Amino acid sequence: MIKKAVKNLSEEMKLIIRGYKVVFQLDKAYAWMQCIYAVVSSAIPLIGLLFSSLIITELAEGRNINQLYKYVVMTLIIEMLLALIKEILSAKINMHSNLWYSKIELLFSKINTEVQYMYLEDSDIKLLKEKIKTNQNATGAGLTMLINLIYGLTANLFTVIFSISLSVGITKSGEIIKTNNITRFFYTKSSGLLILLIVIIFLIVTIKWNRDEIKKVCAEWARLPESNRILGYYQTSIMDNLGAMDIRVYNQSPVIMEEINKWTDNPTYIKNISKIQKSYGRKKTFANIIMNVTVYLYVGIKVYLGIYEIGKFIQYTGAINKLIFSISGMISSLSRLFDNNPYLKDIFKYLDLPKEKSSGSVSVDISQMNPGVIEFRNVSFRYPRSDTYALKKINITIKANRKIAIVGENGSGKSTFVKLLCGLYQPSEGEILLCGRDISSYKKEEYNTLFSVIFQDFNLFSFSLGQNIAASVKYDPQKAESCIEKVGLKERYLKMKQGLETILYKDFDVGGIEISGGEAQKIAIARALYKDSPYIIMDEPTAALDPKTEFEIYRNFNSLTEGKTVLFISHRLASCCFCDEIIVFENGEIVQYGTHQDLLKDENGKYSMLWKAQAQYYQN
Amino acid sequence: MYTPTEGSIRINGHVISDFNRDEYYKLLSSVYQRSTFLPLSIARNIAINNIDYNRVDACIRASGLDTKVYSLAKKADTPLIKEINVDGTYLSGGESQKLLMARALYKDAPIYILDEPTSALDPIAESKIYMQYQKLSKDKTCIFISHRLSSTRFCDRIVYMENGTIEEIGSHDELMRLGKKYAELFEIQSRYYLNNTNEVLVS
Repeated sequence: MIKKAVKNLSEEMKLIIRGYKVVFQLDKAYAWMQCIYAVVSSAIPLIGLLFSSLIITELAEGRNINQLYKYVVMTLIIEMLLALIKEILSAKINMHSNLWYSKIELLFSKINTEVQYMYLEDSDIKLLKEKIKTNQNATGAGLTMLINLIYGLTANLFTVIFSISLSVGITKSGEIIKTNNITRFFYTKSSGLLILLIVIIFLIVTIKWNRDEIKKVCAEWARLPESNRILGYYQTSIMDNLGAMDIRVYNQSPVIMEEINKWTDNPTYIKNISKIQKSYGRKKTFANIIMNVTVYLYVGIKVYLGIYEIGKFIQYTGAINKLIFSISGMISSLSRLFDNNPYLKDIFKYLDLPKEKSSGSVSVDISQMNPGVIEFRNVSFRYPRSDTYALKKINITIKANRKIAIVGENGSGKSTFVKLLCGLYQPSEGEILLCGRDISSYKKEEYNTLFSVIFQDFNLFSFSLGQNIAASVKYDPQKAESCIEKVGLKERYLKMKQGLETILYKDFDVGGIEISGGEAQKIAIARALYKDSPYIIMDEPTAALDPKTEFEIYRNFNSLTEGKTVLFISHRLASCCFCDEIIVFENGEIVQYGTHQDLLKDENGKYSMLWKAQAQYYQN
Repeated sequence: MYTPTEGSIRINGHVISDFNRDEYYKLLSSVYQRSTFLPLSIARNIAINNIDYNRVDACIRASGLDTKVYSLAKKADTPLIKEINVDGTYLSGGESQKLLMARALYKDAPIYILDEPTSALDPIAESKIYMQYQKLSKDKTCIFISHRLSSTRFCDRIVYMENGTIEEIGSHDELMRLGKKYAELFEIQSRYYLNNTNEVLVS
């Protein structure tokens, strides 16, 4: 039992320590300033307490004007200095706290660029990321909680230590002067021990209450991220233009409003939280009053009896009061710290996702790459946590300068195949070779320059047309223009007043232009041409184009891709006619490989089936 | 969604803006290329308001989504959108298009509007969906928007549009006989599917 508890505690401590390491890495100055700010803020009232006690005692007993003068000046100087430091820190902390969220964003963005690509596509990982984000935004759970808790932990710890040292002497016994039965007791040591015992019992009870209250409140708060996640989805995904049509045609608004109301209208957790806080608040106030009255009576009587000087009245009652508050505060900070651990665990799970394998060391020499033969040797691939293979024992050799079409039904493994080739996925088994070398042995950045890829769901940026085509800030205008011409975008281009400087979309610039899906696709193709890599991979590049433009692209295909190796995924089998060879995928395996004519000869083959399914509508 | 800047659109002689808006939408079932789903159950996404499980089941089968749905533990009660629902399921592009079809079927409105409903599908799945739509739209008015002219083969009337105006109207055979823009477009797209493909490439 105990062993297990110790082990648990050490696990929890490890999480917290690692969390703080990350926090200090993110913003060291911010974290340290929080510490200092906490010490300074809690020192101010305590210093005031100490000096008030000294001054009152001096006024009542010593009456030494020089001594009094010294105390007053010291109080003023120290308090002013501390207040000044506090103000300066407060302004700086504010600045850092405004930047804090973007620092966290940056951390996650950096991880996103390093994590093995296949994990980013995994819906469980997407859910994890969404959870981390909504927790963070709702309650600050995770790293923000840690940075915010620095204040509570430091301030309360400091106050506990300081107020204990101010309370030293409270149990002081005195020489019995007046022999009254009741007052005699206050001269003895046992009265001091009794008051200590009362304070300790009171503390234990309030600690327990605090702990219970926070546990219950946190359990209720934990429901907030879920509601944020769902409301967020309604706001961003459903309420956009696309959803707006469905809402009208399918009369979805009653359902949507009901759902939104369920999550926003007087959510039960808010009610519960206020109920919990009310009930514990009453208990705590009541106990505090009793505690305060007891301490005041005890200290008051002792001052009256002359056991300690009059100034101590303020010092002891004040210090005990501070002690009680700071201990409850400490407990609540510690509870929050430990309750934050599950969220930290989620964050570390994300930060610890497998990273891309370190880059190989072999340089890519394009002149040596031609002719570059690609070879898949016994390659199999499984998605994370999946039992079934997305690709099974793929063996194929693709010669340089060939135009290859890749066809198959939805989910047959076509996209997985090209993602493996691009190095976005690593094979679960087998190897992929380029010019006889495993592709993972090449320097990653150089390997990437070999491929121009146009994916189905490509992304253009709200930058200038030229920058989009060059995929960089600086571009060669002549080269960009020739790419525009090749993809048949010249007519539209000539209408753009600012030419290559024209900004796409209106996200950053009101002068930006909106482009159609077909135009976006052409720009994406132009971007691939601009890159001028020896290998071009196209995944349904003409899906959004009208037949005429599609035909233009098909017709110019050979000149567009002259001297390059092309892999072409398409559901439009017409595109197979101008490819040298066709790879047919079915259920993760290559079932046919050959020229269009040869594959059509096998009338029962998969390719014939696919071809006939489409061609029947065009033949009479 | 839009109201005409000039002119009027009429149904059975009545200007559509005279209809009660909600009543008017009851006439329409639409399927777009892309769509968003509610983060609720599959059945809720199909039926939207009042769920009749028998009809939901029939629509799931008719759209060919049954293998997927009945392989799930909670069947049609499985929620969608895995990114926000812990126990949610994921639909591929093809499955999403089938779910949209099931939703349109469930609504059973007299007018279908289909905007590229097969763009994400492979040829075999596409052909199946074509046949399904052909079957279900027998007693309905069906407006089909497509870049794939193969879809015009089961349509009675084709409206060819260019630069915001109607250029040609007629059946496939009429427009082919007319030999103008539609015929040219059809020729372009079908070229590769005819037998003498290689000669076309050379020319």
